[in-house]
Amino acid sequence: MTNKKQKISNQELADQIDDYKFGFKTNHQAKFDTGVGLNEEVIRKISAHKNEPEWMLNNRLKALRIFNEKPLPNWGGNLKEIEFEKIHYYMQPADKQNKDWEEVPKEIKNTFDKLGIPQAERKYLAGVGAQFESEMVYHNLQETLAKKGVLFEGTDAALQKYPEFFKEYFGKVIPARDNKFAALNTAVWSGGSFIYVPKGVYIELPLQAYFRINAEFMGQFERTLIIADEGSSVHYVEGCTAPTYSSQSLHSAVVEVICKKGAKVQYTTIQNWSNNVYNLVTKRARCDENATMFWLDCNLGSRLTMKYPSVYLMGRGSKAEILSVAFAGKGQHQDAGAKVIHAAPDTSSTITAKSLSKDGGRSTYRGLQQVLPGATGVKSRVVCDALLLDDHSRSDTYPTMDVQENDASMAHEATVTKISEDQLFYLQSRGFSEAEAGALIVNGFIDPIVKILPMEYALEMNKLIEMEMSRSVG
Amino acid sequence: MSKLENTISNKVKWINQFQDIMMDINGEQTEKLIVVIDGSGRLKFDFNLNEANANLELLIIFLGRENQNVNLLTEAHHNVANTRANVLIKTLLFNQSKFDVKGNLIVPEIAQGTDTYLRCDALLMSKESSVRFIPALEVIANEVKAGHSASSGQLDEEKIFYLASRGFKYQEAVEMLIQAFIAESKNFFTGIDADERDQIEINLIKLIK
Repeated sequence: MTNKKQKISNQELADQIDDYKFGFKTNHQAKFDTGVGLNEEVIRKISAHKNEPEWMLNNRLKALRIFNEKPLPNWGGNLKEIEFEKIHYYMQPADKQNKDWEEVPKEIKNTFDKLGIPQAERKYLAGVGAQFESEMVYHNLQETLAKKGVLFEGTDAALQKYPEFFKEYFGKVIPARDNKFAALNTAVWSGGSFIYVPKGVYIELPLQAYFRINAEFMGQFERTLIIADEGSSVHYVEGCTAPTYSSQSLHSAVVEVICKKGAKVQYTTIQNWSNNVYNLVTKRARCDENATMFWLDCNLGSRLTMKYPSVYLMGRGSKAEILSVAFAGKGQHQDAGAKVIHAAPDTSSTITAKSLSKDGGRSTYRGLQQVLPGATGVKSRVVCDALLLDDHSRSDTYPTMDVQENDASMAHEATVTKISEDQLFYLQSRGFSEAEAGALIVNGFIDPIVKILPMEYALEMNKLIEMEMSRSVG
Repeated sequence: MSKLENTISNKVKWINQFQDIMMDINGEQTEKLIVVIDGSGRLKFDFNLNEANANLELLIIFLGRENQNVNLLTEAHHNVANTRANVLIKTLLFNQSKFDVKGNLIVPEIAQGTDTYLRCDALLMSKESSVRFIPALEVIANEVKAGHSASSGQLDEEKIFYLASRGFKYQEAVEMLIQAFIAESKNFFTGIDADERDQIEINLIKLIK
């Protein structure tokens, strides 16, 4: 089944992104660029430039072979238009990673100043990282956390400083063979965040990172690894934007999270890529006994997003909670969802997914609740709701429930509706304009998720909804 | 357990054969169907609602007794505006039986005013039984009511205890709860009288005796 109104040219995409306030470009000369295209030589250049150990180079080369072997997925969004041979797979913007914001090159600093990133750190967040093109250019961490043994580094720097963590955990939650884009990331990964939280350490304030693609035909392949040791707790927030080009960009990240016994990790993503970006991400957490993993995933931008944050509940009593919001506007396809695999007894999970489609956009929920043999006493619930804001957008729901233990208690429900005429009339009769009323209703629809967001993101989300609703009326 | 006898009802049709179904439902017509799956293998049920005011009420029952393994794809295509479909799939799985079902409700742009719902419920009666549901929705028209739900579980021990505390033996309590799980489907159909509902209930209970 197709929706012919969804087919949109690159020029139309560029035309309608005037309102995307992060669409500005920064003139910056890269210090190092592997050029376009991907082959073994590019991999070797990347690895040599980073001065990596040989085992990581071998890892990359093996992953490249897997990437070349695997076909593109024949489900989900349209990936056939990705021009892999025209993408820059590695571009270094600055000489070195800086701890002092003043040392970061001026034009990169201006970019992040415009995005309001360092302001957040100055105010109250625990630590901030900023990635420009392929590299982390800025990292900072409050001294108190550093003294507690918390590690928050760019992944490249962490590989050099703490190789023992990488040998033990890198590629163990998401191996290269998992899917084609995990293989691509493993071959060309650069940047991303590494976090280690020692036993019993509770980090009250969120750690934050921000990712920015700047060049045309740029690929960004950050690799994030978070290890929360026993009894620890951490909240990590990431946001991402890109300038507007008529050509495509590719973002293919891998995020691995290890929650050890009793640990709690919350991972919040606010994705607001411009509408020329293919956003193909593999995110997975492994939970040991009594650990809790919480994914909060907001997808507002990109041309095509295919992302299904997942949790493997490997330890007794572990829990997963996944909240997902997807907004599909003109020319966008948000193919998002969540997966939970119950592989141990007495595990539980909740998935709440909300999606909005307008102006011909398409949102798809794709999810999995799986109970493996031996996973007794499982409880799992999924609620997914979709709102269609006009008569030429699309919503699909493909949930899978796979139950191999008879005492599992599983439930799933989904609805697809439009904004209620009665609710609109009620609000308008109280003095709201149609646009204001629509915005209120939509904000109420996504409220269960927005109220969990860090405050500045929640405000941004509400503003975005108001802006979108005002454009959709009259 | 005995198989369901083919009974003839004025409004509700029984289909008790292991075969694919393809059915066109036209205007002002309401198809009320009970399909009992008895066998193993792949099945496809395709329903096309081709004219305005076409309605489908479909109850699918699969009782996996031993090691039956059924893979079912059922699709309801709302090809025009103002059609309605309500699909309920009930399955009871014993021993090594398995049920893999994908139910797809398809609502294209033209199908404004659609009202469509799919529900799948499974009762797993043994450790070796398993179920896989994919209740899918593909919706483009926005003036619709579309939804689905799915559940899987085992008999509630508290309910068994309740019945046992009222004097029923354990096996009797289990049988009553299983019967209730299947027989509650008698309320699924609209526009039929009490006698017909009772007849449906009698035949559903016969299925599982």
